[in-house]
Amino acid sequence: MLDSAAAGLPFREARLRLSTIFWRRPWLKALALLALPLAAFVFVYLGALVALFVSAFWQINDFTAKVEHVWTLDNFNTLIHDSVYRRIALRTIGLASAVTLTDAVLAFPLAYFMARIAGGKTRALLFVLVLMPLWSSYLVRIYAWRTILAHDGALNWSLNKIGLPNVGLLYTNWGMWIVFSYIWLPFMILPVYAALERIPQSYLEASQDLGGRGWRTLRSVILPLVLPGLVAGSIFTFSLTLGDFITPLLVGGPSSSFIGNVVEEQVGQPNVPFAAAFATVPVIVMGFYLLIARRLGAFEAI
Amino acid sequence: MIALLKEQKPLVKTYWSFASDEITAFKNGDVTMGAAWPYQTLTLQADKVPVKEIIPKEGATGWADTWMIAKKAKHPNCAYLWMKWVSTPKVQAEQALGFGETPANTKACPFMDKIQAGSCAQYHANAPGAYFKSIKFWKTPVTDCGNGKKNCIDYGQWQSAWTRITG
Repeated sequence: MLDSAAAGLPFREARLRLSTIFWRRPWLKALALLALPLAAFVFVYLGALVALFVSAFWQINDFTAKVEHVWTLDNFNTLIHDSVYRRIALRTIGLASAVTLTDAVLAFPLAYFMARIAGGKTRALLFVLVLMPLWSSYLVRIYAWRTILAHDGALNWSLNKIGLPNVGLLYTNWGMWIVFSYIWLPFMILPVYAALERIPQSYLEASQDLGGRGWRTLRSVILPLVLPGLVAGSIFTFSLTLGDFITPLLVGGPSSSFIGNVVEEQVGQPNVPFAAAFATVPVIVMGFYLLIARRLGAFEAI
Repeated sequence: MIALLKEQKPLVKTYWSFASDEITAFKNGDVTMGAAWPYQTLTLQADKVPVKEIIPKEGATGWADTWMIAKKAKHPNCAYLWMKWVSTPKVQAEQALGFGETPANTKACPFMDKIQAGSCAQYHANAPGAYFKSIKFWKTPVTDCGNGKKNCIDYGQWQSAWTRITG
């Protein structure tokens, strides 16, 4: 008993000394606490990005397909001068924008109803319904949409029942637009809901007191206050579409390749340097997008 | 060649990535014709989808899977023993039906029919040499044309040509 207490004494002293040091230098304490996550972030996350960017300036040997560490701008030259890569990049960015706009338009009324009109039980039910698709695998949801959009699928069956002709949406970019908009919709609803919920009721009353009708209140009070939430949601919908390659693979048609598909093909070739060069395009696009989003106040709404 | 494939593009519904993709596309009525392995045709026929395989007069392309031993294998003798075993008629028959491809060992035929009646003929395992000669098997494109010339397209160029068609 006595022995173990005596043995514990040096530890106690050391502990006290350590806490004195930390108390005197608060920055040291912060550093000790953050060191591990910071190291993980710098080495794993940023390290991977830097490695990607550096390898974009290398090339492969035509015969052995081995990466040669020779500095070259060839990959970027090909990207700029070969029109097919521009077409694929523009298609990816264009569809990501269309999906983002669609989700914003779809999410706003639903989020508004959830945040400001629905009662406790209805709101809880709607939350479950919005989040439920996220409990299932992303692949399962894509395959589900394929059975809906297929030629002999649920959509055409329903259309035929009410006397309308078939639509061929599977294997088209329209089909991709629908599937993407569906898959990322919850990621838009949640931040818009959070932003709508934060608007004090008194603001809306004040607008009405000043003679503002529904439309005017929406335009001058609600929308400006929801904008950061919309932009925050758009970061998710835009970036998730921008980096996808599975939906184009499974739902896309003969002209549906995304940046991600080319990257995947090139990695499999294997031409990692070219894949890396093309993969920097969405990174740069997202960089600009986040800069604009910050100016619109999106980071106060996440 | 590239121009011809581009010209065909309006006829193409999708460039399938997985065999299962093509099978569902046929089942759902999205496509009525496609380039396929015997595996897809047989799976569709087993599911009572009315399809038939033909080799057009232009010929057909083919693909052969291969076993390889790594140059720096730690136990090359073990690997050779594996190769020997995996090439035996019975194992070839089991592998052919399990994976859905034609066996390389023609002696696998009776074993295939024993597991699944008629499967040898379905997979063309008993087809004459002329049949296999009519199929243009995949060769990785390299700059060396094989006839002394070195101006053939390499795999990288082949890949970007494919991207230019499908992209």
